[in-house]
Amino acid sequence: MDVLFNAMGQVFQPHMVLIILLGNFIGVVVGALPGITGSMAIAILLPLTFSMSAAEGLMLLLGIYPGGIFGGSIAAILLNLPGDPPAVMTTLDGYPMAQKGEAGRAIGLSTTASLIGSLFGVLCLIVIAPMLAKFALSFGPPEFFTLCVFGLSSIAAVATKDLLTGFVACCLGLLLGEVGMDPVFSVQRFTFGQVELQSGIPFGPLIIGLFGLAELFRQTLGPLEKLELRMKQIRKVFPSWEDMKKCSTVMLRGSIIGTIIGALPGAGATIAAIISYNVTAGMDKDPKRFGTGVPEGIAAPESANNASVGGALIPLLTLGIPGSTITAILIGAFMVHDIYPGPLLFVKHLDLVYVIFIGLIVASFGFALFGFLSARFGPLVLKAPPGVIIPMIAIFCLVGAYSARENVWDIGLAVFFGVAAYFMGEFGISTPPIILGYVLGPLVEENFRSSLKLSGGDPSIFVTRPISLVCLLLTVVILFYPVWRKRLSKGILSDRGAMDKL
Amino acid sequence: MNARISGRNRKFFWALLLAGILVSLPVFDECWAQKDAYPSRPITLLTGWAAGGGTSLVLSIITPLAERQLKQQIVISTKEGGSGAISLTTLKRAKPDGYTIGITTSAINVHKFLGTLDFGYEAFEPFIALNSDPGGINVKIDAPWKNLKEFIEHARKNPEKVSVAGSNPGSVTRLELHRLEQAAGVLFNVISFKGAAGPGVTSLAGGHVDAAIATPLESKALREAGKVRMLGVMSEERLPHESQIPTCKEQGFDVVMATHRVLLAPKGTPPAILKILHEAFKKAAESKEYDNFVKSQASLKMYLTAEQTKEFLAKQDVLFKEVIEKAGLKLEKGKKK
Repeated sequence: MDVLFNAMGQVFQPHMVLIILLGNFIGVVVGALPGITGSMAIAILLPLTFSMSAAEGLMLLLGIYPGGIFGGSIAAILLNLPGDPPAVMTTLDGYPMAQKGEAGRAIGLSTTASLIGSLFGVLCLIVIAPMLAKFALSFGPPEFFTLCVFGLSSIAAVATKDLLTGFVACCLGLLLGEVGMDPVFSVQRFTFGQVELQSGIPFGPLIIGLFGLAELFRQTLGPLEKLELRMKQIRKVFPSWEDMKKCSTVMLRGSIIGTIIGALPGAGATIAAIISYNVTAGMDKDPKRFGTGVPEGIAAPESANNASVGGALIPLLTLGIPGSTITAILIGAFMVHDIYPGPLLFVKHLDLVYVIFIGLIVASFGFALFGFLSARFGPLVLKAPPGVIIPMIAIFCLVGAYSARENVWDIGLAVFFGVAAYFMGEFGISTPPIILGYVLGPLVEENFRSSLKLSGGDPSIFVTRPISLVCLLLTVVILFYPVWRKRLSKGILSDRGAMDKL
Repeated sequence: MNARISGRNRKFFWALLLAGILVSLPVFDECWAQKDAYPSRPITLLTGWAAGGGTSLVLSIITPLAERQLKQQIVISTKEGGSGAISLTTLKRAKPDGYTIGITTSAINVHKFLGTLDFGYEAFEPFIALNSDPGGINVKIDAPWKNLKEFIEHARKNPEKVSVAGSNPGSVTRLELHRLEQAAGVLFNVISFKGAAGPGVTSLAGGHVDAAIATPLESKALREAGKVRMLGVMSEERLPHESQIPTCKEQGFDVVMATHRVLLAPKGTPPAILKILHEAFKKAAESKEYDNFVKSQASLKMYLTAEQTKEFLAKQDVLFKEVIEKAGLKLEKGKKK
């Protein structure tokens, strides 16, 4: 108990709270800006923390981490431009809701879902970390393969309008994910002799092109009246009671999914968001509603991607395993102070552990504060005359594409994808499934090949391991659930009126 | 209505123009300052490895120290991609005036033998070596093998059955694993884990593979956590701060391999400038801060003069070429597709 009060005393000092809020602010801003992600900000600011105390340094970085993941949703909702990868799924329903003139409601919902997810993740980190860490370690290549296959099955949920074109787009994404060196033999694929493509198509320029630039082309080439947005509910930034009631189960489920997937080494926030969206849309009575701006479509990915923060810290703190890019960078912040994350951390530096716990809770409320502020003032961006706002977004997009790898070549890549996505949109092919294939494809391939290498070529490895089998069964269930549900309801209720009530 | 908007637009235009001029001022400044003694303006340091990784950490410690010596700013510019291939290509094309320098890992000894680049260290002026991260072979804490000999013996009895996690083929750690195979005359069932060796060690801790190759730093956290242990480290001598770990060499396997970090300048950089740079980074590397940092990273400090660095890289070329050839990896030296 003494340690707890001691840690509280440490965190609630004015300068510590300011450091956390500063981290939150940096996180939300870089998260919202296209191309620059929270992990880049953490990496860049890491050397700065070397001269701080361990607690101060960690508070700054842990403020940026959840802030960055949340911040991505702001641009996703307002501009259809996911500020960072985990926000990709938020564009699906966030942008349509903003287009209906309810941008404030969308950001408010995203903020609430992120806050709940973040708090849930931290709670799990405090209470059941050792158990979850053990579970996370049991994920080997076969388990990852089946989990990613499950993720890919969400194509059914993402491509709500037309399954066939969604499938085509997803295959295109899989193809894009193939570019670069193959994971087993380092053979170069589809690089066309370009050094820039050796390590694959970079994520930043890809989403900037597919989402941001394509949307800009659409707006400038399309009819002008579309730009006249009505700011109906700008004062209402806190979600209504009705929205909360609708989304409470979704948020809770998203938080659980996010925490578990965040804890798996190598998975992370983006996959958590994909899977949460998949489960939510797949289990819904009417999956076709998704993609039209329903609150559940925002709550599901946003609660999951922020819950993954607490999840990712579980293997880091309890075992010293960095499961994601960000936690791998964070480990440096510990080590430079001669502190090594792992079981001994709880013995040698228990005070620091408690500081981290409390700091994370403060950071959750901190980014939520900035979130509600941006829900109130963010939509004003849409009120600015299109002649000003469109060139500015274009500049942000191009700078963002450049800054990911500091490479001019990537700007060309982003423009290429922007033009391609514009024409795809004209032909009725939606872009989110591309991201699905692009993110999951390489993971599916690598883990499939590694699994078979482990088993000596025997495919039964996927069904003899319990977790892997469960994932495969879940994939089947989620794919056939809508069909099965329809058949079931038809069988029992022949009366049409009763069916509508469902 | 129209007039008002155009008036606002005009203001906007002038504001943009002014901002543009302000932004481009430093460029003019550069032209004026060129004649002064080196270094009279900020130096750009190119790196091909992302922020947060080992190389970028070394830079973040050593550049502020070197800045103090040079009394000039060093701007780190990250050109990520292709294991340093992009940044090395950029550096090769840079003006050899000392204002663009770069860092490389042992990847420079790998690219030309794999055919990913058609040049190696000879295309540059290496001026100092900074540190080295040797490879290490790790097993689970409760594995039956007490030392490397027993492990290799097991692998010999079960050819291509013992699974070892390694990073992408052609990466330095993966080549270290090939070197061990070649020295011991065994073949492992190597499982690729994309990216750094970190995921491989994690997979080892979960019991999905029998062993994993990783640098002392990459395995440090899990070793401290009591999940894995290192059977042998691939350095010449035992690590000064972790002397309980035996080397591979003392256990009878002649495997000395590491990734080294070397600073380079484009070919044709004046010797006087190279000397200034060498002295500045030498002083920086001698500092206590750098010492502490290397220790905290479970890394090995290294100091070589410019001449020694060149000789060293030539020897490394021989070593890497041999490993790559024996492993049957692609050898396309000088061939262009």
